[in-house]
Amino acid sequence: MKFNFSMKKSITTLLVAALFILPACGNTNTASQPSASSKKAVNIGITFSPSTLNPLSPVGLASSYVTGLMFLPLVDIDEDLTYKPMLADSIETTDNTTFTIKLNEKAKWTDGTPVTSDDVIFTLKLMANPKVASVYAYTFGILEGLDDSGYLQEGKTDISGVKKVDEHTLELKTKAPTTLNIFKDTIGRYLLTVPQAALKDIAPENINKSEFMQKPTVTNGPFKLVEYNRDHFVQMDANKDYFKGAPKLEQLNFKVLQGTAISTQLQSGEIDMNIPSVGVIPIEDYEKVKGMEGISTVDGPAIASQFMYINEKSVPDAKQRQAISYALNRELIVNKLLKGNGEVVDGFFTSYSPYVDTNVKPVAFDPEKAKSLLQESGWDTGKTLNLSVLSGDSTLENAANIMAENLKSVGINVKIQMADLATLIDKLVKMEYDLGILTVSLTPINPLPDVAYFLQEGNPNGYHNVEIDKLITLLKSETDEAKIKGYYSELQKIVAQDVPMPSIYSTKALGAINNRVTVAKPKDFGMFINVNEWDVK
Amino acid sequence: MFNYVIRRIFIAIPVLIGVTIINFIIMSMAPGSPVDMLISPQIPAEALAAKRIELGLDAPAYVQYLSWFKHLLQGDLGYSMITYEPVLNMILSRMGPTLLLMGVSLIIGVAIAVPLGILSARKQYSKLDYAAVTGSFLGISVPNFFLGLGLIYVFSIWLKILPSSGMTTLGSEGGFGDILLHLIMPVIVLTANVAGRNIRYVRSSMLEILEQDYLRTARAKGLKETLVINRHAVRNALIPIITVLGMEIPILFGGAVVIEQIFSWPGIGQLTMSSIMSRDYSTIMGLNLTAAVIVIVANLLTDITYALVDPRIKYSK
Repeated sequence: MKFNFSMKKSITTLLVAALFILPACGNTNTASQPSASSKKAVNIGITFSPSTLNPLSPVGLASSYVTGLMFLPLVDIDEDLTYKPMLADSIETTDNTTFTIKLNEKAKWTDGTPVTSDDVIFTLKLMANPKVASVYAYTFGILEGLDDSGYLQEGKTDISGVKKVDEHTLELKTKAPTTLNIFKDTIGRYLLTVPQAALKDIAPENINKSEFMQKPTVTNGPFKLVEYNRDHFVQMDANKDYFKGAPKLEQLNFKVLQGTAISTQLQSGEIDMNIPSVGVIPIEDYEKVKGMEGISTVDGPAIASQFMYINEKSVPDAKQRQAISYALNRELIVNKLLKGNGEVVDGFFTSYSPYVDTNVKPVAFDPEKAKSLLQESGWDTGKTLNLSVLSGDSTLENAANIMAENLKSVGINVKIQMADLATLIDKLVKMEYDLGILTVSLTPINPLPDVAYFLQEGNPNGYHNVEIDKLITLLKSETDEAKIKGYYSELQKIVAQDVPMPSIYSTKALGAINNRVTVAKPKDFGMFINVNEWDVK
Repeated sequence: MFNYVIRRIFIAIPVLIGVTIINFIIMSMAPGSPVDMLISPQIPAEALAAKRIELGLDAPAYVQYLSWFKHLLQGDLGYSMITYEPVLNMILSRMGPTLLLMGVSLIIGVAIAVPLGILSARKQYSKLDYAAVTGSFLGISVPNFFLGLGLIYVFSIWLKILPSSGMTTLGSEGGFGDILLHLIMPVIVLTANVAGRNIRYVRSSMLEILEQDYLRTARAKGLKETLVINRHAVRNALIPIITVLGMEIPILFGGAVVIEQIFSWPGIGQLTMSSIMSRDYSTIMGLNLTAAVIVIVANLLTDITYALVDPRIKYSK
């Protein structure tokens, strides 16, 4: 017993001693730290985590940005909605079916070998393989030799619409005439070429799980991956041999943060900038961020809109849907809730879209009209509609409350149900909802796939209109921009009449950047095109 | 004793299997699936079907469970359905930061709670006692996120002396000192909690012992007061504390989810949250199993320590 006790005592003494000694060791380390850590780095705050860095199947915008820094797309879209050359020097067509892609001849992988047509074809074949199950494969469905989901038929090894001309030139054929813009917006932006040499020995079904896709070792973009921790950060080092010129920065980091932490860390200097729609600053913080010393802000365009899904089974009459639209006080939401940092939207297009028809005016707030429309249609005032709303976005939650009040005042009983994204999407897809609100951002250049999804058969509204089907068929093969604009304009008129899914508002995402960073500008499209020229003071 | 431990481990196995089955059932019943989460819904049905097949989600639920279980027996927790990273790697790489945060908080918390609780009991109704009890109530009742945000405001925004998030400074070489700086605020929050809870336990346990007859006997036989307290009172008072500490570990795991989110601590809490939100089935299963193992091991260790400390308890036969 006695022995035992003294042994315990000495162990305790040892432990206590260790506790004091360990931090002391640490302190000597700290002192020598600063000199070792003065790298030229820019930290970017994002609120969505890059869920994968797989260039064959990036999921979400955060993934696309980070992956695109390692594996360049052929072209990238800039904020003025023009395409800038990235891996390709040019993409041209004379007949809108055969597209010639000229790769940048200086482009090379980090192992020193050139990026060639073979790499591009190899990547196309991987994307077209159902075993790889790329979520972007469908954007390649326009190519000859692939089915509409973008898959190559089983048993075939070559895509008939893809031809190698020389080491740096390819010819791609589309099934139907396609505008150059749409070609660039699909294959141009989403084909992130991967190195054939590094991946050719991995079976397609194992490629997503391969080590390469977790930590790519051979890349061609301006930055290389150092460390990736999905929910916290991505750390990248400059690729000194980048063929468009070595980046002036030594390091580029992405930090995954809560929305409220973006303004906090901009202020504390822990992050230098955000990506407007991916590092979302809550509207409540806009004023604060705009007033910060040493921080410049950029008011972004309206890109993403809040749409209200209306289940046609619960609200079958177009008049009732119009009534919903008349009952919503969108001006109030934009002016009071968003404090003017947004716009009232009606239909699929925001002011940023080249196809918006400004003659189709948003439905005005008119509760009396809503009431009379409801009366005409014989609306049962005893009926209660469930309004499913995405949880977590405080602005949207408040807007939903305003909308519910608006609807109640005209005689539509609404009960709000909050749901997380997975639950909400599940409800919408299975049509187990009455009303639902979801944020949708349409690609400005090529809104057709989204529009077709929301308006054609099989959509989660249950809406159907033959005129719309005709317009969509026409749009699918039209290559004359003026005519395309005309068709979209007609489509907007029908949508304003039928109200299959009213849109409510669109927020203008705020971009913020510390003045120590030069050349860079926070923007949703094309932010990283010139990333190699960014510098810090 | 040895037999007892072996028996406990064998009992743990069916418990763990049961936990995974229940978890799988609840998870499968939750609306949504990892495929729904992949991309905006305009992706064609064929592509979604291909994705389901690739992830093995096309099979009936019990087949999915059995296949998961079969892999588990081979020590394979599978791949994340979102990132395709091996689940085991994901858990292991985040376990370190969580253990560090929890371990440091637990040690400091206990180091504060035990002496303060004892003093507070010995000097009941003194100023120190009132201060300790009030402090402990504050520690329990101030919500973690509130204290965390308050600290961030003071130390990161106002004084700019502590980093508000992460475990290391991105772009630096890291190092012990860097981690230490990042540790300070989350540890303060968790420690406030741990100490708050345990001061009250130690105090009440000590108060109870101070009433015991054997202390009077000890004093009567002429022992010095310090010996009476340290050898007879404190050592007995601390026995029930062991149980409380055993329970602290699962509580800390739960509290870590909130703290890790506030301070973007790269631990297991954030991983749990994002896996649930994205319906990453295989990762959720792996995390659930890990949590169950930790709780069971913590309980077992508590019971063993109990027996070692208190000679009255025997787990033989």
